[in-house]
Amino acid sequence: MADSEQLGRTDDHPPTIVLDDVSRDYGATTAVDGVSFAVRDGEFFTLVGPSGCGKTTTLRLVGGFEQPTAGRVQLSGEEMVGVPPEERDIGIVFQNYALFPHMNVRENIAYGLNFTDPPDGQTKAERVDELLSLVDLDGMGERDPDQLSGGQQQRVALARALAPGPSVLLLDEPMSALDAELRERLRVELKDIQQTLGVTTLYVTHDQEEALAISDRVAVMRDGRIEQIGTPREIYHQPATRFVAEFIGDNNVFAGEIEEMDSKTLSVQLAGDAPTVVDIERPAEDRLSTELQTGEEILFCVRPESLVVGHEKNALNASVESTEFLGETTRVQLDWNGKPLLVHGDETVGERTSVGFDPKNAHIIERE
Amino acid sequence: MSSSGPRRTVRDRVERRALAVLAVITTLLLVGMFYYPVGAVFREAFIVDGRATLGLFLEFLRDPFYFGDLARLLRGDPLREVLPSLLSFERPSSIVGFTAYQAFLSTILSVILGVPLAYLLARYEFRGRRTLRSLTIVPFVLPSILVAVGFRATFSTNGPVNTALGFFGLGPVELLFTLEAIVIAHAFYNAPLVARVTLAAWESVDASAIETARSLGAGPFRAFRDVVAPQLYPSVLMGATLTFVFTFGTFPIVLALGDASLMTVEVRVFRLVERFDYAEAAALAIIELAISLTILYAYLRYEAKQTMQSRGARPLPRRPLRPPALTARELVPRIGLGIYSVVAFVLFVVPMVSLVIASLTTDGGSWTLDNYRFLLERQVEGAAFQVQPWPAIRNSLLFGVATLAVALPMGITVSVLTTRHYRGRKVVDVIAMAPLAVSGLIVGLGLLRGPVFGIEFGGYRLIIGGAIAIVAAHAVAAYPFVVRTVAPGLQNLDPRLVESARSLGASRARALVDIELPLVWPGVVAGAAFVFAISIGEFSATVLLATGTDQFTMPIAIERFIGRRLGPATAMGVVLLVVTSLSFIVIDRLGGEQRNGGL
Repeated sequence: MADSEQLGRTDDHPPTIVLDDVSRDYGATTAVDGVSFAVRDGEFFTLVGPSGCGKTTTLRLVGGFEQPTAGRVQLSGEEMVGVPPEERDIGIVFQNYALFPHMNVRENIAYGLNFTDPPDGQTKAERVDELLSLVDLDGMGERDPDQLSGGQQQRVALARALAPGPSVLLLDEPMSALDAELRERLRVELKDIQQTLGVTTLYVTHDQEEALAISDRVAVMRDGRIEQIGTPREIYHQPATRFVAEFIGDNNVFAGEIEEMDSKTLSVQLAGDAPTVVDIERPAEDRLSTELQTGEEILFCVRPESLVVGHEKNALNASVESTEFLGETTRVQLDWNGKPLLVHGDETVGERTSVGFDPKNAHIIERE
Repeated sequence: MSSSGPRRTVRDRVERRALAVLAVITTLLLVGMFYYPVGAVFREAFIVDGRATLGLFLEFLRDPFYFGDLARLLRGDPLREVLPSLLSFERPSSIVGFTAYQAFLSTILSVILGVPLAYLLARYEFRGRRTLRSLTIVPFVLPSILVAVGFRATFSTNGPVNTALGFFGLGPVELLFTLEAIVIAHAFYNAPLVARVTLAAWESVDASAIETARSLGAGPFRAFRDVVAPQLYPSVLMGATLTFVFTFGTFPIVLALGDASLMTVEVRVFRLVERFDYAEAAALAIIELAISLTILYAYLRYEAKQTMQSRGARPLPRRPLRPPALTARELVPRIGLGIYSVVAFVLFVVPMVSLVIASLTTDGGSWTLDNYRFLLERQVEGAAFQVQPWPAIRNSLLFGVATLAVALPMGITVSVLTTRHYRGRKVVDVIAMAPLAVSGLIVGLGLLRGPVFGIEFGGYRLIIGGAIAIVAAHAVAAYPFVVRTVAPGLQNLDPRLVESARSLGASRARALVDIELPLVWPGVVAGAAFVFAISIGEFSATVLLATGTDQFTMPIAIERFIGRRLGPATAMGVVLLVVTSLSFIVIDRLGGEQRNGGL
């Protein structure tokens, strides 16, 4: 898995966070299994995956709260294995914020300045004021944590983590305790602050939409391993595995056998009882690691928004199972020869309908 | 990291290792104050004339004086001769038999008196409920010799109970120096303990579980039987087991309230030490320890099989004490509680009030300050060999402060070590909490036979003074209570608080001081109060170590006085009561507002 893209060697700067084949076992169970990635200076990098996939453990390995059972962790070019958290120059925000309940907001934010001088020759008080205004909490310094709303607590936790000017910011699902509307607003603010400060950020979330919205790059994790690393667009449009295709957004995954191919198009016989052949665009030569062969079994996916009702190409006749009105669109659940399909349509669909897709909107998944 | 450069100096390195250093010091203290002395007791019992032997134990086991009918069986007497008396409910005359018998009766009485208290506190709302709930911890920290004097004052021929009975033309009852007096005094101690553990279970019953049972058709009694009772049984059993173990190892109560015919194992051990039969005393103490540990182990095995109780999402509502309607269903339980509170008043309040009254009256019943005057005169005029009050008070306070200085850091260190996750934590837990299970008499005996008499070190003889040995014995007895009050708080703290502090640059030790200790401060204060109270009230080890020295404490002084006249003993008892209460108040004030009540 350790190709140059994953290790982030695309510019001259050495990456700020490097994990090299890192594993963490708990007795017989392996929480993190040979994970490698590199986060560039100033990058917003997100680990996303279902609960129990090892993303939080990975973050804790970077923070020094756990020690890897194998592999290397580097921060700013220094070996970190065995180095305690307080010597790693990190800031962390936890899901429940972990504000010190016996200290007020100001004391919480100032705590890290007991161990590091404020940057740029500021006094402690100036630094705290600067951070309070950065997170838009001017004048709230004397409040106690339990007098704050969830969103305010989250911002105090962020300010506290940023006060000593860490070179790495770790965020462990900091939005998941907030309601949806607030989450979307804070997401924008967080990204804003991160870009203003240019602090290298490792973000952990199980919310794929959040991951796509906020990140420069995303790593999708499953069962302790990384399935794919890429920009949000790459992850969404070119999922490397079936898991990524189905975990990130809605998707329709088809299995089939290549019947014929020319330089531009593949004809694929879909698996199932009814013999149906569809045409899909042949991917560029360099995208797949192996060459496609006639007769080969492949997987490809078509997003619901590309599976269009009444489209004449690659038409599939399906029965309507259910519709779900979502405002902007209506999700229509179809049954095509026993295989569920998801399309975006409207409520005018009858009991049966025909859906089709443009060959260029089908994406071949390389690995199962 | 680069940001702090030269500030990471020697001090930082010390800080980084501070916890490890504390752990090493605590280990050394634990070995020196507990494991080495206890080892000395074992060596004394198992090694006779330089050879390892079980001879002493076998002698005890075959001696009917100690093991009664069991010993007769082991000696080879035929079963059919022994069986009738073995199965009878007569009070056993052997020492171990009697010890178990009185412990059994004390346990029954403690449960009978403890469970209604738990019921009252769990299900009724009334003014002073919280205070009453906190007061249930008081008997536990009262010096046992004080309770013994209180009972002497209560049941003496002209004490309040007989006066009250005489008023109704009844009595007098002669309870002193009887099994009944001992059992009642034990209930004074242990019924509140049973009540506390039962109450904890009762308060964790989820109201919605009962409501579910009711909605499915169960009546109120059926719902209690099916939903509440099964959650209470394990706690009642835990309270009963602890009571049995505590009363099996009883010492000062029986010493002060019993006579020659009422002798428990611990009293016998004490008498053997007085006669310098150290080897026999050691062997007998080990037998007692083995019996207690077997019972505890059996109980823990049982407890391990029980499922963990989850905190009730919604606790049961409390009813008003004033009946909302004059129906049988509302009245009967309240009348029962009324009768109970009269009994409880006599049991828990009268002894302490009697103590104060007895210290202020003459044998004839008129008010006097003679008993206190006696203490003053003894202080001024008493001969050197006589027990003087001021040295007792001074020693008690000094030992209390010294014990605090040793036991508090030890307890906090052990709390931190036993609430972190690592391999072998269970072992550390057991090693650190073992002093809870070992009687003060064994620790005292070990310290006496080891450090106090002197340890040979390659020709040098290292002698640890009596005062240091007494503080060591007190610290060993007390520090587990710091662990009991501090560790749960640490356990419940979100580990992310410490992780946040460390990500911001605090060392592990610094995070302990800045974050954890301030947040568990009420537990630390409660632990300190326990330490002080235990040190001031400790009797078993102190009486062994103080014999023949001027290091006696207030409880020892009371025991000396009680043998001659009750008056001065009650006066000294009141002084002890005042000092104990004052120290509680001082520690509580120093610690600021106490939010939750420890144990």
